[in-house]
Amino acid sequence: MTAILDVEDLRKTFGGITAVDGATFEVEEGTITGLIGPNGAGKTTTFNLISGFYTPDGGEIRYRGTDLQGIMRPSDAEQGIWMSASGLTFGGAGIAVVASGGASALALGGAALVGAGMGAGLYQIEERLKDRYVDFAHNRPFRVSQAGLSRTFQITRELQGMTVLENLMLAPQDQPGENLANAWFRRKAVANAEEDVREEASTMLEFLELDHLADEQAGNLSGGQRKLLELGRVLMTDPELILLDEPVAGVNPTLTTKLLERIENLRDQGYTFCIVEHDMEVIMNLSDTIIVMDQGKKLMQGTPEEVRNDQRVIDAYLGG
Amino acid sequence: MHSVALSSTIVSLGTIVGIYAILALGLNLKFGYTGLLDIGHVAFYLVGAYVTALLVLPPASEQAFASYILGLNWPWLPAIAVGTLAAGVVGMLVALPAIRLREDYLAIAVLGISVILQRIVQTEGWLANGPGSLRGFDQPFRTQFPLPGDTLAAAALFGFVVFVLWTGATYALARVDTGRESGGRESEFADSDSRPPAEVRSDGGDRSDSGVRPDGGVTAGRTISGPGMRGKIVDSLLALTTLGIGYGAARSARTPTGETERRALLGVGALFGLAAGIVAWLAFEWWLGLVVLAAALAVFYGVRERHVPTAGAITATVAFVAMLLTGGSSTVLLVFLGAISLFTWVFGGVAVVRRYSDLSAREFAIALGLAVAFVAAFLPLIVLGGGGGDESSSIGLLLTLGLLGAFLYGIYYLGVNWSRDSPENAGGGGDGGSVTARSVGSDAAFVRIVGVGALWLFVLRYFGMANVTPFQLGGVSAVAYNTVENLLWLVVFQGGTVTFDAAAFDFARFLLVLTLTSLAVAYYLSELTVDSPFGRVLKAIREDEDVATSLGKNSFGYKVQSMMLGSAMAGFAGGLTAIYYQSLVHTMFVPRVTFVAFLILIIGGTANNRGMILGAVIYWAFQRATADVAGFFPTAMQSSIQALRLAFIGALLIIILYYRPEGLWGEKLAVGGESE
Amino acid sequence: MAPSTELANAVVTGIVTGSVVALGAIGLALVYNIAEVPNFAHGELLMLGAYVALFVNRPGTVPVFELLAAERTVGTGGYAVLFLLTAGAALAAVYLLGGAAALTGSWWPGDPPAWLALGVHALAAAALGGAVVIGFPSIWAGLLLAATVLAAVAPLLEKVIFQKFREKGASLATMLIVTLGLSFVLRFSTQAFYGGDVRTYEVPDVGSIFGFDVELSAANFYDLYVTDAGMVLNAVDPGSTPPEPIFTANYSWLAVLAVLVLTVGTAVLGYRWRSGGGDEFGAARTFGPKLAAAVLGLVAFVVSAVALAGSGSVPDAAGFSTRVRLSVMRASVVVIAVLMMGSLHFLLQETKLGKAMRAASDNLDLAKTTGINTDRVMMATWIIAGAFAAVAGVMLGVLFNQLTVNMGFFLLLPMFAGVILGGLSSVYGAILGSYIVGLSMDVGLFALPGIDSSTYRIPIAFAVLLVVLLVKPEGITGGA
Repeated sequence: MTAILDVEDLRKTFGGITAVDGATFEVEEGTITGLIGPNGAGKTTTFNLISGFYTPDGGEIRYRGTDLQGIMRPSDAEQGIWMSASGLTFGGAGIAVVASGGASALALGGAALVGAGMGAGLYQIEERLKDRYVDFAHNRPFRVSQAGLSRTFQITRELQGMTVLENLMLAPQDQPGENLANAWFRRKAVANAEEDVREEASTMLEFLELDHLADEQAGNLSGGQRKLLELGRVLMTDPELILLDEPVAGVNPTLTTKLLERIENLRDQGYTFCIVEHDMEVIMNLSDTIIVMDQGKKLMQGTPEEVRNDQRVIDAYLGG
Repeated sequence: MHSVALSSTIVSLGTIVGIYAILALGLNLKFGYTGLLDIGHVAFYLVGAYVTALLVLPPASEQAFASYILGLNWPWLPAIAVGTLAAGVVGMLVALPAIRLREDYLAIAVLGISVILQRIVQTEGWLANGPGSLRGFDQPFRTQFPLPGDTLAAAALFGFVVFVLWTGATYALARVDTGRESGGRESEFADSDSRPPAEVRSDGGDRSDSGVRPDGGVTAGRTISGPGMRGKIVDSLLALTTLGIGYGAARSARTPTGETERRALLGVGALFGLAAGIVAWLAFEWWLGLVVLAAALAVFYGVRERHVPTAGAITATVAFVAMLLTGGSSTVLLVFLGAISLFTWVFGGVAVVRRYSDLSAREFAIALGLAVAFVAAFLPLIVLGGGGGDESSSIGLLLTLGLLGAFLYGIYYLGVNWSRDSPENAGGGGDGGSVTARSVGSDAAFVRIVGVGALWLFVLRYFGMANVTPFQLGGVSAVAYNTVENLLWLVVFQGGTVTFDAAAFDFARFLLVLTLTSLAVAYYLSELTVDSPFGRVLKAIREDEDVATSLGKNSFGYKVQSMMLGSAMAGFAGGLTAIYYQSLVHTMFVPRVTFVAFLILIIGGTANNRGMILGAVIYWAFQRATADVAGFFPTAMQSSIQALRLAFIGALLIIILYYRPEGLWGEKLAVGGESE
Repeated sequence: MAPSTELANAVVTGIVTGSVVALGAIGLALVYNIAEVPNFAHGELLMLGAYVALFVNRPGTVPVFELLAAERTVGTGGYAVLFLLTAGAALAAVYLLGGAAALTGSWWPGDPPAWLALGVHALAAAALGGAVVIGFPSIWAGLLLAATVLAAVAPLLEKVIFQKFREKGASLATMLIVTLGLSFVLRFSTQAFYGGDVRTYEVPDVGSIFGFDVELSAANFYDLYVTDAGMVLNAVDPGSTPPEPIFTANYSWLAVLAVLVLTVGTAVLGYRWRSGGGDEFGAARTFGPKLAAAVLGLVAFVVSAVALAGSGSVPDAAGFSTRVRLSVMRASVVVIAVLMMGSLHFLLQETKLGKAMRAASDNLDLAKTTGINTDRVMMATWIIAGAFAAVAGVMLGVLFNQLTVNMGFFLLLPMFAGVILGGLSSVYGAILGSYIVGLSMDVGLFALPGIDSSTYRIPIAFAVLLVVLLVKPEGITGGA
């Protein structure tokens, strides 16, 4: 088995308080890895770091062997947009400067060209400087999700003003209608894709037993229903590695059992899970491997059996 | 010499309403759907207006006492297109750095940019004539007006106008009360309870005849206005005023069209487009022919109810040919435009009655009473003479102010106590199973009664008070003449006589048609945008940006696109402004304009594109009405009243935000914004 | 040879502008932090203050009130109205602080008897009213009236509008739009009441201070010459013909050096004095090391400069010369601003209320859970914001010698720039930011070639802001 996620010496501090202090662990592909620890052990912060929402102060995160920073780096097209925007601004400024003196068309054109070149050049220089001399970190978590690493939030964050169905339909990646040009000019293709997504979302709702609430505003759901919705939403992104932050807190026991079955099912299909959960019974039954964190560090890693019998873990929980 | 008919005032008001509605649509995309607090929206309006004007203007060297750059003598169409594009690009340039800022910083940054742009235009003489106004450009097709004319160009323009009017009328007819237009959004119709609550809503997908209701008397192929004698009469009126074609097409549009029929209609569209394009080429320019062809194809392709543009095409062809054959007959013009003017009244009446069909006769009477009371409040001022400065006019002024105060208090009192007065409103009037526990029912009902009152006021003003002066001047015949002129509002009668020969179509009305067409396009594109998956991402970003990001959406990219699109719309509105005012000056682009756009947005309800149109109508109706009212007051007080109404608008904004944050139109923000 | 008015003059103007901006920005920042209202109507509070001062300064031009007044005099009725207005506003401000209980002293430290608190409040209100009546029709009395009235109006706005929205859980965006609406209400109600004409104050040219006649509004010239021998400071009164020198002070290079050494030395000593003591100095936070260094340094500078001044004459040729135009009026703007900032500093650091305000500014919810009466803190914030805004508004009116209903809105943008520049989190940052904005506006106008129009003052403030936002969005003092 290979490691799908590889975390090395991860560090994060907030104004003098060290939340994550050199955590090092791996998540094997096709497993369910539990992440436990007493309150304040840095679990959620670790999740935020892995999903790209926080920038680490030190250490490295590798997803499928690629550094997270590399994943989040802007694409060439995006850099192109920035460069042309910079050029456009300076070009316009060039025209303005020359035109305010009242000049010929040739001078105007020249000024525009010089300005544009200056703008583009400045952008390039700025980028180089950022890369080379400043400890610059990209903070573009959506790239991480696009690469197949998705997460849920500890406190559910449903999109309140949208319906349950819309919440799910939002999730799938690369929908043709998300491109404005398609939405305007290729309506047939977009409508067909929408039908598929709707179908998929309806199936998901049935599974989550939320189908009777499809057109309800997400803000009107109960706490447990929100958890389900969020789980459904992250599954709809079709990820490979899923970070679940307390997925069954507040969900009724019957559904919890079903959910856990589903997660194991998905694991058997090749999905990988990393789960933070406070319900020890759940995590012990579900996980293949458990990582115990304490005070921002990895305390130990092992099978549920090993964790259960480890004195350090017991101490940490009693002491914490 | 007779005074300008009120219909002409309405026409110019309609144009500015259209422009502001487009401006608000742009802001709605940014703020309502994406949550970007752009209080510098006016900057893009400015860019659009000035770029358009600078392209259209002749070179500065040909003008005396003016200096500006460009001056390329372009035609309007490409100029507005470039102006729109430029506004979009500026929107992008502003957005790229500013959007990363937190909400309130973004607001201040964009406000700053709008102030800077305005100051630059004000100061830099070389750019756009500095503090002076930029003027000296012609309006498009201005020389062809007033219609009719015996040239090919005049006939072509007439055909265009007829096409737009008939397509619009047929579309309205085809969509009225099919459950999609009204039932889907509004739950206040009498029969709304019978609608299944969890109707599956389409997201930009298939939207054919899903909402035809069995009990509304509106089924495919049957009458449009409902069963019974009354329905038949109204239907025949509708048929008559659309010259049969519009009515017939609207009814066929209700039955699902087969594949062959669809193809045939598309063929008709192509043929029509080709013919219209050739006419445009011959009458004007070759490129205009291409534009016309493309536009016709787009309309026939884009509108799902293809009978609708077909009706427009047929009528337009007939009108064009008739105009050409008769060599510019006023009679032809009067027949077409008179009919469609009457259609607007009939249709408007039907729409109002339907929208308020749940109100009792008593409530209609109360609304009428409110309108009459409001007018009556001004009687002392009118009777005792305003503006005289003598004793009696002072008394009149005081009386009127007192009555107005009493009237406002009465409205407040009624509004507060409404549910107690009429308990049937609390439960039955609104929609049955509202989710919110708050008793919005009574508020909503009263807001609607005030709305009816405003409509009554309009009727009183338009058909009643407007006749006072003609009556004083010319007796009953003048009243009849004035009423006819106001009824046939799309026609202007030259020379002060209502005869077939005097009928004409002036440029102001053409501009109205042009603006409303633009508005329709802008509205359509807005709806298309927000109903698509793209719009869904925008809404997700508005609700919670982190979630959108965690689902792999490049929220930054979407926000920039939203800014670009919204700014481009503002720029488009700016281009139309340049045409409308024929001169641009920096004071037209002060931050206040953004504020007005926000007001329109709040009145209409955030994230509700239809609300933007309603908001613009209400804002400008208010402006117009208060200008009317100010006319009653002494001259010395008029500037104070002008200021006071702006203060009132500010107060209105706060009141609406507090009592009806969902806007005047929608029952609930969520229903208005998300249910499509 | 008359020196040209160059950079130094721009700097002085910038400081004067910055003082006005800072007075406004203080209220803006307080309200932003504690009441969490991004108040786009704050400029209108300035404007309102400036217009209220007209009641005293030009009663004859105020509609309705003019019935009781002539151009610059009022009858007994007018005095009564002014007295009641001031005293009433003062009591209203106290009332808004916490209802009737506040009037009986609930906000006082300890638990005073009701009669005592009531009496003191009534006496204080009467004293304010009396001061306005006695001071009539000077601009100072107008300033007092405006500050008192606005100290009641601003919390009233909180009570009537913002509190309601806060209870409904309005978002920041909603609050912002509400304040936009409010700014319309205030601006155009004022216009409806006063009419659209430009108003002016009547400020005497010559005032009597301790029996001496002093030119108030006319600027004196302060010229500085640098020669081989040293520096010459020459003050000229341009009002009389020929321009009459007021004083000429001559410093040899040695004297300049001595002044510098004395100044820096005292400042360093002051810094050591206040920072070295540690805990035994209870007031160390109020009169902190930086403040001590600044104040003592300034005192040493002035004293040594006066003491070491030698007599001399204006040199014929100088290596460098510059001229500053400064009038008593403009100088007093700075002095008043500094005094008010000083008292605010004292309030924030020394009083229980101030501590509560600082706590609320850091974290409102936390402050609430620790038992701080946040409602009262919020009201106090608005009272301070209103009073400071009124003073700033009157100053603005005096400086530019014209009052328009738009004056506040135009100053709103620099004020916001100052607040954001200062990092939004503290009043001190806002003050610093405001001076930077004020300086950049005036020095920018002077320094940028081709920008000769004063229309660009505000765009320059914004350009500075935009650059800061792009480079360091958390502000210049942010992160600390």
